Amino acid sequence: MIIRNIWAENIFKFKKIELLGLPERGIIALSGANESGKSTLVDMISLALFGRTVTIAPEQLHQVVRWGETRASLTLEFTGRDRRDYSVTRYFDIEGAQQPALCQGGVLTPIIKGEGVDQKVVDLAGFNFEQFANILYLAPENLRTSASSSVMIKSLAGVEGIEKIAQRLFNEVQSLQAVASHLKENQEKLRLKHQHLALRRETLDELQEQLIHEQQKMAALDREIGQWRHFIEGFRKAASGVAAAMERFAKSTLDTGLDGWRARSVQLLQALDGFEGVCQEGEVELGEVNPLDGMRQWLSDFGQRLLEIETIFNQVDTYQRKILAWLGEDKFPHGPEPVSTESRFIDNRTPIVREKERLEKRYRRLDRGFVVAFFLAFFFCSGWGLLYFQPDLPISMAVRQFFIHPWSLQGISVSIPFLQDFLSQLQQMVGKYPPEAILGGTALLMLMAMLGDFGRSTKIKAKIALVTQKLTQLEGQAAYYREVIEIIESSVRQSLPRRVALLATIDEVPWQIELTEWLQKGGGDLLKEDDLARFLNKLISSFDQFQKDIQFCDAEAAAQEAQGMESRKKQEQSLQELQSRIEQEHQRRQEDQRLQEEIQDLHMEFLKQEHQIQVRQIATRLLKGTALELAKYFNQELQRFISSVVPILTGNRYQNLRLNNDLVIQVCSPKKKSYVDLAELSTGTRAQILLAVRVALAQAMATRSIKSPQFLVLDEPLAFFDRQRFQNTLLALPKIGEHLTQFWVVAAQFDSALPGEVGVHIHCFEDEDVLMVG
Amino acid sequence: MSSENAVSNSKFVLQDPVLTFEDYSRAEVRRLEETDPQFDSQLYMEAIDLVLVQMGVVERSRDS
Repeated sequence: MIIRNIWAENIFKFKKIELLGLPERGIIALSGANESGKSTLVDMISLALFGRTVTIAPEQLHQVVRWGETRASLTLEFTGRDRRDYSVTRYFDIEGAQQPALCQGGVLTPIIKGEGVDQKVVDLAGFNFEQFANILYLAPENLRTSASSSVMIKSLAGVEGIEKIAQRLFNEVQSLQAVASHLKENQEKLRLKHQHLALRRETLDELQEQLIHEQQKMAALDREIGQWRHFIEGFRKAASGVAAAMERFAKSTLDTGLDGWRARSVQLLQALDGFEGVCQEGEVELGEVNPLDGMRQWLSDFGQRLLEIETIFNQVDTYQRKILAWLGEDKFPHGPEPVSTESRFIDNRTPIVREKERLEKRYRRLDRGFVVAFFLAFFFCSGWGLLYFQPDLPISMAVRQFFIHPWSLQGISVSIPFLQDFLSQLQQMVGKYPPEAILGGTALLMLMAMLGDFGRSTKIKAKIALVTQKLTQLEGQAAYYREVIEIIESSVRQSLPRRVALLATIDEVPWQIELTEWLQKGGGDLLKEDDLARFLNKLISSFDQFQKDIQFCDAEAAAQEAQGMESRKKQEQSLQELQSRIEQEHQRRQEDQRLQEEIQDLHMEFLKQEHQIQVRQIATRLLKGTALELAKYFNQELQRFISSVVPILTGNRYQNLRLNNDLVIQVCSPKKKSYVDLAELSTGTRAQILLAVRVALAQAMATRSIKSPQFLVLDEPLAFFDRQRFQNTLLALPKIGEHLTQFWVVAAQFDSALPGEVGVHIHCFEDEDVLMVG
Repeated sequence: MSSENAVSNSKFVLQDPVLTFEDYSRAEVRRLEETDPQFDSQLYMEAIDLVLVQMGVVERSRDS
């Protein structure tokens, strides 16, 4: 890029600037005192091309506008890499805003306006602001020390960025190592904490097994307590049952019937059985002498007596049934009629009554026959007497006639054939005997018949008397039996003593002996009040002992229950402690897990950090290798330009210059015959060599990258040069190479003997605000 | 690509440092692959990516 013309209004201190017809080759010398604006002209090049300057920060561009003005304009005409002419114009305001426009050739219409101008300028120039500032703009501070040049060289070689990245990565490695170290420390702390925790994996399982065991013990204890409670409840209930049964039993009196005795006895026995069952279930023994045995013995004795009297009562019932069956008058009211081997009363009485009736009937018939026989005997005797003693009497004649002519009655017989036949047969039979004989014989027969009847009736009468006696005896017995039945039936509704007393009043009964024996054996105890009380006292005594034993057992059971509850309480405490330990162990496990996870996390983080460190270390190694490669190549390439530029700019005093691997400039000293660092040279020589190096770099850039004529700005780089060296440098600059042709050299002043190659000399005055050249 | 990370912001004149880095890294990886049986190419690829990110060539490294 070659700068052709510059126009400006209200820029910096200048109200107007016109630099026209600037030469393509040669030096454009800018001189003037301080604050005269010579560097401002150089800044205008950068400001026009890139909208910024090396010396003014972008946010302070409002300073560009001249003091007191509101707007400024700057136009720079240049020849680009494409060998065409362009002009870039920028308008500034006091707010720092700018409006760029790019025109081609002499055409006033911009080809680009606004944002695209900067990039287009870079394309046309072949370099950007950075490259301009670092390579094409040489400030005096860049030539004072070799260190600044070394930095610049490294920057140009690309090593600076590499080294910055390497340094950044190195710093990251340091930070990562610090973090890794911190992680390691924390990990170690956690590891120690974890070791201190000393968790045993088996402990929780052991504790849980122990908990299960203790819970089983607890359950067993609960069952035992429950059994005790159940037993105590049953025990008390059974004891209450016994007490209630006993109370009812003790209330028994002489008026208590057999059924009442039996029922209470059964109740008491059942209560005792229930109580004994509870005791057996609970494996409880009531004292050394079991009162239950006494009560049972009493009840057994009592039951035996009841059984005996009941047997007797059964006999009475049987007897009653038999009598009732014998009497046959009524059915037995208490069950089926028993089969009796004896004849029933009615069966016995009926034949006797019938016999008596038969005898009485026979007796009455004999009695009537006797009367008939008597009258017949009297009749026939009278007939015989008439015939025999008074045969002549008419009546005797009539009778005789009757015997001689019995057919006188034939008329009758005719009318009555049966009678006629009978009379005929009678005449045939008696007709051959005399009537006296017949009548006498008949009378005799009648007398004999009368005597026979009398004898038989007497005999029958005796039999009747005998039968009547039997019948009387039978009915007497029945009457007796009826009385017995009445007594028995009336006794059934009576109390036991009265029943026994009533039964005892009956004589000649089958149970009489057994009843007597029963009374003698002790049954009498149930029949008298004193005896009964005495007898019951034995039971009450056993019951009192039972009550005492019950109280003792109840107290024992309650003590057992209390002991069980105490054991349960202890067991519960033990369980709670165990559960607490398990909870603690869980928490310890969680803590262990948490610590392990944290340790693992830290370890993973540590590995990650290590990995990052490794990556960065490798990256650093690669960057260092790259930097070496870059330095080596840069060194080789630059060496060619240095070797051509340095002798020119140093008047052939120094011909061999090199950059070591760290891109530090070393120069071959003719005196020492060896390469030395710039620090060993004088300030002027060092500045001269550094200028040569910088110009060589610019030459390299123009040759390699821009590939067209290029301007170079030297903003007072020769301030440290002596007059001769300044002169020689100015003479040497145009001879450096084909691409660097236009040199903008700023200096406080130039000698009047400025070589003729200097194209134009622009002098600035401090009090002038208009600069017009060309 | 930030200007801070950009190595290739045209300060160089002779050789592109990014290309140099890539060439050098490739050569180094090849060399180590052939000579070092314990060589971990993954680490190197991550390192190369990291540098390229730092250079502003790629947006982010492979592992991120």
